[in-house]
Amino acid sequence: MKHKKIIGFIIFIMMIVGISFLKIPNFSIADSGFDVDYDSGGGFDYDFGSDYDFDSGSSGGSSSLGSFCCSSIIFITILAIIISSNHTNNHKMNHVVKTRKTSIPEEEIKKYLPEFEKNEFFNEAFAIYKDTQNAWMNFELEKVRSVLTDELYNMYSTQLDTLKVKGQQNIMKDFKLTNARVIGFNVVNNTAEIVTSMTIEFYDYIIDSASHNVLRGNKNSKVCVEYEMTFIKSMTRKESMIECPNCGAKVDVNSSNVCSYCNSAIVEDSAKWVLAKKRNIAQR
Amino acid sequence: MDELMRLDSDFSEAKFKTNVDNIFVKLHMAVMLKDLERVRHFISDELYQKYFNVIQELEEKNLIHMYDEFNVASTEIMNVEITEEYFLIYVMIRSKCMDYYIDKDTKKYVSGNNVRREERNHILTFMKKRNHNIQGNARRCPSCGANIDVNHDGKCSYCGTIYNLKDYEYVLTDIK
Repeated sequence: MKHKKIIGFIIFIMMIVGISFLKIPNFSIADSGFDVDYDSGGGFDYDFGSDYDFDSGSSGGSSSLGSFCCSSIIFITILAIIISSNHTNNHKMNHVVKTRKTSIPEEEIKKYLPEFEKNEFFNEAFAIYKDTQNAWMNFELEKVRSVLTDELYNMYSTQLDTLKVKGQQNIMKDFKLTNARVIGFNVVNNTAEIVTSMTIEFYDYIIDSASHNVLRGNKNSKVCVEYEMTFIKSMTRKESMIECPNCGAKVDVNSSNVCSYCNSAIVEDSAKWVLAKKRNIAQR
Repeated sequence: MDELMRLDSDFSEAKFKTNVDNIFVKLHMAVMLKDLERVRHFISDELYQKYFNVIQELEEKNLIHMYDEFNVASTEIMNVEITEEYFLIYVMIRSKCMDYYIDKDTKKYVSGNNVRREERNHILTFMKKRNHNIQGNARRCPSCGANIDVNHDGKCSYCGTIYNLKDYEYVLTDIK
């Protein structure tokens, strides 16, 4: 019995030492609007109450003590999971946001939008997402002004300026939509709002614009993010071409645009679906 | 909320929340850049004075307050109040950023966390007049009539007048 205790203790110490030498990958990533977490609290950011904090210890000079503490915490957590799984447990591990809703059937939406077709909608939604990410990457947000609400467009512009100032670029590519469903639908004051859950895999990392060195993220490994994205459109407005209220020129304004003749900024209810909000629900 | 939607015919929850995010991000960037005039139209006079004092203090200490990789993680409407004159909406906002100070001249790190993003919760109060005017699709300077891109910048590029957003839309009156 005493030998078993000694052996168990030695194994415990060896595991701690072994884990200390593990190279914890840097899951830091960015994404338009900085929705996806960098190294703090996220590479594994599950919303069931505990944040797995894979701090890759960049400039702060991560000490061996810090690494040891991190390893200990990981080991104790694994041990706790093993112990708890030996007991009868009706509690499923739930790593989704509590407010996740069940899918809204297409028929429900067709009552208000008879022309709505789920696959077509998600093709369009995914295209808007990709175009937005590419525009963010290339500092060309003007290209997606017509598929974002004016507020979201301006928020992204402000946030993107900080990357520019720092001389960094967020590289994102090879987007793959792995799951998509409608989780919310509203019609309020002649505006239809569709809330979606979309899971997307892609490469995401930050480089120094001058040297192209990877500063954060992993260029060899895809990340998988579940987003909650809200799309809106006007129930009454059908055409996006209007006359500029300032000079009368024809301007295509789906959500917002600048008149190419007189430079007036014009904001309208959107005739087609535009992205109103994007947030990260879970990532790995 | 139902009462608000009934009384405020322009109200769209999705657009309102993104507007909240935009204002919140722009306000922090304004403090970072020490240029409150561009966001003055988004906030009440009292809040403007509060942040003006914050910027004054930063100037005196020769510091720049950095809000790096600023992100709004979630925006939830907590409560709605309808008075005789105003609609009031209370919003809980969860944000993340690297919050630190650098020296204004050398740009060197002084204090704070420039390694990992920290999460914060704030309660924001937005107020809109019940008898508000309709903005129209092209917003004009109240002084010279020039076009203003209101969600970008509230200061008229021709005459410098600040756009009177409080006559049309929700403005931020408090942050806790």
